[in-house]
Amino acid sequence: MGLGNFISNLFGKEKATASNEPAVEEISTNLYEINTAAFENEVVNSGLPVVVDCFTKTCPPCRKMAPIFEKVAAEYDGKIKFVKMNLKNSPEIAKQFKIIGVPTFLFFRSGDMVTNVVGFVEEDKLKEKLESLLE
Amino acid sequence: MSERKTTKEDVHSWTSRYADKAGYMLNPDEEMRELVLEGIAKNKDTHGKNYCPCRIVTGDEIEDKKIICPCIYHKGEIETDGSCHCDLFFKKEDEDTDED
Repeated sequence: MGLGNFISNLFGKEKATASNEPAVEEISTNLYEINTAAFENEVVNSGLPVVVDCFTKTCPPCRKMAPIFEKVAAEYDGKIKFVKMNLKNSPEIAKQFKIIGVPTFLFFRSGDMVTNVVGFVEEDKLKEKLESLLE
Repeated sequence: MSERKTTKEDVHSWTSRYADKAGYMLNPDEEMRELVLEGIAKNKDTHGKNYCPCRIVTGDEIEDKKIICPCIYHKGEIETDGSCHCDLFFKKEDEDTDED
């Protein structure tokens, strides 16, 4: 960790997920914000299916989606892991999965991405996708 | 002297003019609208162009040109969904209402 990062982290100026070190922050029940460095461990190697909400802070559809994602995350606790990734901090993920717009939801089963959804989705549509992930 | 930063008001000014000219309106939800305007202003200062804050800047000049607000997708999106992907430009709901 560089001196700049160390100082930023020390004074809490930089969010951990903006760091190059693996970072996992629990936001609420079954909802975690991670960075690229934590992706392999938290998503690819997860024992549970995973849904990843790729967002940016200045995107209104992302903000509109946030409370729905949080609510549904709690409902699927123990069945599907819910993860958020800020693409401003994790541009590598955008490249890897060819993400062109946010929010984009990536659905993983056994480490493989099985489907994705681009843009705001209503709760029932999101649940439909999640159920198909459990089949 | 440092260059003046782009403000939300700057972006509001030209997006309003564009919306009027194109027959659209800006998002009536002030909080959401301000968020997009702020995102565009930030992109202007960071990347030098008014990139849509709901799209990903790839670094490929040709690809990224498509996402300069108003992006190449917005007309189709407004036509099918009533608003652009980033919820900045909306189809006018009532053409007869002429509020100022």
